[in-house]
Amino acid sequence: MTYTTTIDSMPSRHDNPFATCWTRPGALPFHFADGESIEQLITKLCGQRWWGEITGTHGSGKSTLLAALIPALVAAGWRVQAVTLRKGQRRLPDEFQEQLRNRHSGYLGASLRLFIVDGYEQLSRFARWRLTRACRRAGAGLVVTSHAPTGLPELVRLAPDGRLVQQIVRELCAQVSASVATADIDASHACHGSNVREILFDLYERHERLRRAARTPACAGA
Amino acid sequence: MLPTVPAVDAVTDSPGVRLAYRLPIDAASGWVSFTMAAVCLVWNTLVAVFVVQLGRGHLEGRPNWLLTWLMVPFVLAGLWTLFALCRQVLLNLAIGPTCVEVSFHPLYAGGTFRGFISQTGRLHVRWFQVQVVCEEQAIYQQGTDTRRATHRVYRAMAFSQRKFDIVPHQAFQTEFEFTVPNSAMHSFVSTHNAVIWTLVVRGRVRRWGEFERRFPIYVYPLAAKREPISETSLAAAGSAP
Amino acid sequence: MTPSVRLSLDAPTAQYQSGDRLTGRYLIDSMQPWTVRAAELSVLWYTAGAGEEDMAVHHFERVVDDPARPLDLRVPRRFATVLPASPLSYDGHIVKVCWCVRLRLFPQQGQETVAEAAFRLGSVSVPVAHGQGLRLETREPHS
Repeated sequence: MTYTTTIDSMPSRHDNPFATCWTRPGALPFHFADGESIEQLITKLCGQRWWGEITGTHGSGKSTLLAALIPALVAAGWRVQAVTLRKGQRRLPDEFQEQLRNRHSGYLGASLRLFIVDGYEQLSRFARWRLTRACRRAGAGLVVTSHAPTGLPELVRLAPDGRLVQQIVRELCAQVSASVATADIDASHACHGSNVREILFDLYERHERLRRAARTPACAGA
Repeated sequence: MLPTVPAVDAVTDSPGVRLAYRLPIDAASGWVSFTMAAVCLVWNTLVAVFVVQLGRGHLEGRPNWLLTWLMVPFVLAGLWTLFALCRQVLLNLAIGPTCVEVSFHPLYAGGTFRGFISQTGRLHVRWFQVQVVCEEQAIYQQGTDTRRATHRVYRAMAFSQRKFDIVPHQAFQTEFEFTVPNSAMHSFVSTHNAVIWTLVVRGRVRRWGEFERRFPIYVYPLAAKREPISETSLAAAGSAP
Repeated sequence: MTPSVRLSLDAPTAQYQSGDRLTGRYLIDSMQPWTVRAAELSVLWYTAGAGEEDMAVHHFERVVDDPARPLDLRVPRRFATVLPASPLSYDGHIVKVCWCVRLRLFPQQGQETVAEAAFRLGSVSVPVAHGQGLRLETREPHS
């Protein structure tokens, strides 16, 4: 491989619209299906006595939806306690369990507390049973995410389609211009299915390669 | 002080025999054998418990043929882990330790440095290479998933030789030169991102296939450059013969 | 209406080397006085790309509005710092190291305003292949 110095531009997060700073939950707004909204979701959650499960495959937007849901719940007066479990984490963190045990903490009282567990299926059966029992006893709400149904009432099942992916990419490219074509997006979607995260990483690669190819000096060497 | 540039103590605390510094091998290389041993032990212990119970039943005239046939794939898998572990151990014994030394550390962009490699074992080598490699590594955590990405940005051959034998008690030894390109990025480590330089020793040997051993090296920014230490002054200080 | 913020570096190319003195100025472009509670200026680096963003602040200064000494940012304020030896700016494939001066203004009312001026530290380049693609490692998603 030839190592050739180039006149590099100033590196910046604006070089690539698919960099993680633009695509992480919270940075990228959650895109609801036609006719759905955060308010509808909260209404449905209320109808299920504030218990619900968000299901979807890897990269389908569960954490992104939570990032949109939490501020809406806080604005509605809920005291939200959220935790994200990593792969292999079979029990809840100590401070989270402490909050669960504390039924009467805060002047708001137990009835306005809502616990959120991102990655619910990571917990052991016993840990899940303890969590649901504690929430039931405390009269608290419980919203979880998992890759497959785990028995809680379904709040929403996420399955992003090609149209949604195109919409997300259009929004990202409105902020920072990209070199990827519609065919690239379709090809990536065909490869990764509803895993939007992998699609965006794939597009990151493509954009980066195209950007560098455009800067390759015209004179080729051996 | 050099923010985000890793310390070189692990290297500079280890004097070489032929050159100034001996490079420690990448810890990940040792984990392969350890992991294989752990998996083999756990799996075969569990399978053995069931096999013993089934054996007792057969001997006492109470054979459970359904469970016996169900255990066959598990036993075969256990035998395979044992075979793979034995092969790994024999591979490590056959290929032997690899020792890499460098004349100077830390390294700097644009510099040319000397290296020394010693490879022991009982091997018919098809090809043997030492490469200078630079990789970017990025970790991204979202939800329950942790995504680790690696991208190689530079690779250059420092040494290459084909078709030779390594015999026991007579290590293959050679010196080589390698260059860190001008304007190369220095070694960089932050919580989730890194730029890592490595000397990679790779080879293909008859009967055992390919092997690879990695030796981290550290490239410092030019602004931190100090005067190179001559081997004469090192010898006087007793750091090298 | 929020007035425009002008944050500029003295070096016309915004290119610096380690040990150089980074200097610049900032002001609010407004005919009317615009009171702010405080202004914070940071010289920092951050990573961008395919990994989580890391960042660290090299230089920080804060000025606050004081009844005895009112803060009028229509008057240009200068800043200066000596740049470190590392990390250098780096336009990598999945890892980029970016330097910038970031100015945060906290008005008496309303949301904070942020302005950034990017600069380049060092002269690091990345390899560009001639006539052949860069060999890419297979991504290793760990899920």
